[in-house]
Amino acid sequence: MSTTTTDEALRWEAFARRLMLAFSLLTVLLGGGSTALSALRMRDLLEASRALRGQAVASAAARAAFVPLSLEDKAELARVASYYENQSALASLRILDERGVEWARYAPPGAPVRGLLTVTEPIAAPGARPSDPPIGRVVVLMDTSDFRGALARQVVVFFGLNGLFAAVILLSGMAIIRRLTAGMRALAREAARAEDLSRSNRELEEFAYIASHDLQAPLRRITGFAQLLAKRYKGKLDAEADDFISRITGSTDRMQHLIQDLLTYSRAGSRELVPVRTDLNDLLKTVAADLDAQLKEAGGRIVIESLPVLTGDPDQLARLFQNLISNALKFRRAEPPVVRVAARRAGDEWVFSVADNGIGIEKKYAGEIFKMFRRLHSATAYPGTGIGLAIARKVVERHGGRIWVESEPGKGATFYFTLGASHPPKQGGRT
Amino acid sequence: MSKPLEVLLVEDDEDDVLLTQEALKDSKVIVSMAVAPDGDDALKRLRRQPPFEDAPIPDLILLDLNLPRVSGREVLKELKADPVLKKIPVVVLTTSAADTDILKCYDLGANCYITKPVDFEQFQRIIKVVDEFWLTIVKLPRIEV
Repeated sequence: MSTTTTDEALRWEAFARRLMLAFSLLTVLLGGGSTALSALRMRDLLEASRALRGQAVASAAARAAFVPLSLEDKAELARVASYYENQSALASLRILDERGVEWARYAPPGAPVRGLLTVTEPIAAPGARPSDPPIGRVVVLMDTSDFRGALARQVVVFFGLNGLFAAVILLSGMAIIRRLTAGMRALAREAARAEDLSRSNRELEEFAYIASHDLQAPLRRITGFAQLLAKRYKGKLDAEADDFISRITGSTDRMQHLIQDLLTYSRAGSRELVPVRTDLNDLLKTVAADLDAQLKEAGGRIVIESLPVLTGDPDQLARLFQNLISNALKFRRAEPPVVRVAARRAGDEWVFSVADNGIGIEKKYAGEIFKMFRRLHSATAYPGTGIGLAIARKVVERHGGRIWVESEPGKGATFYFTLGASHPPKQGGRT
Repeated sequence: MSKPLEVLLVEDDEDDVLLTQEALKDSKVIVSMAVAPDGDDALKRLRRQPPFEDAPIPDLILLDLNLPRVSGREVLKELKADPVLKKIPVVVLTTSAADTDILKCYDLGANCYITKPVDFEQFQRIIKVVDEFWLTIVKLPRIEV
């Protein structure tokens, strides 16, 4: 998952970069294009005004001013003339030459009209239909000396705005891309780390599994021949030989238990979780029944309070409770052991407790005891290989919870663990 | 029984062969045991390919899974694909207790699957039970080749 995520992030980043670059380029081109277009138009205008230098002649069309205007109506003509006189923007002015050829359609805002000279007789405008109102000619004085300045200002404003616009888009786009890709990279790194961790866990579990299988084979043979030796030659050799043989079989027994536990541990970590709705009250009844022999032998009892129904792997949860209760019964004092199993809701998780009245644990060992094969007592005092709590921790962690112990020597111990109330545990692991 | 029952033990480890033979010593059934040290050898014997033209067709096969060259699983697959040899009961006898191995073997048509116990006395008991069950209780097919 990790490598593909990283690759995806990089591909996405490259794509977004190209897209932004193309977009900015487009903005510049479009902006520049429109500026160039308006510059071209202004150049036309400039040409026209140059042609009319000195006594610039501009023709204002009544039609273009959106007011049908009769040339007979001298008063109205005077009004239009004064309008153009007072209007600095000749947006509706058409500039024609003496022959009626159109030079330009409008003057840019701020075109310097200095004054109205005359309003002439109707002329035939190019492309005019007979039904069109007649077009007269308004002769205005234009100060062409300001034209260049106006043009230059326009060009600066256009290019400046477009450039600024493009720059803002480019920079903000790049900033967004940088943040997004940084986020994606961080995610990819995290995924890669998680993948590494799960791979190394998986490898470790595979190693434990293979090792225990492969260790089992020679052990079987040692045990087999030692037992054959014991069976066929017991009493035929001397007492020392018998003692040696029994030591061999004793050790192989112990080693077999270690390997079995290693296998159980690696299976607890590698078998796929099968989370289903589980009524822990029912589950605990089964667990208690399984522990019946040990319970009788210890002369103890188990008190199970009301437990919730939650989502989890029933086999693994049963093993978890079994290991904790079995431990509670094992590490007892002289008095009969009492184990109390309870649960309380805390936010969106359940906190379970398995409390006993046993020998307790020193605080400094509270973390140690969850490690594989870690034991605080000799095997003669309390038999076992020290795998039970390691498996318990594995089961809890695979269900997304935590496990810890609170205890004082001689005052019993309470093991706590959490299980999610609403969120089912993560799927996965080796099948 | 007039003629001894033929058992083919497919097992690569000499110690395991010896332990199995020892375990069979107490068996009431008279057994003649041939040993194939790998899967290839086992298949050659069963198919009576050279140099095993005269090898007897076994009444029962005890098959280990982890064998050099041709694995026990492949032997099982080949056997159960053979119209004649598939009739011979195969007892898978292995150290593996993995669910995947167990499923795979039954998928391939194993007649039973046994995980070898570490304890020799248990192993001996199991061999005895296998013996008695397959070689005296069960009616085996008469296989003509």
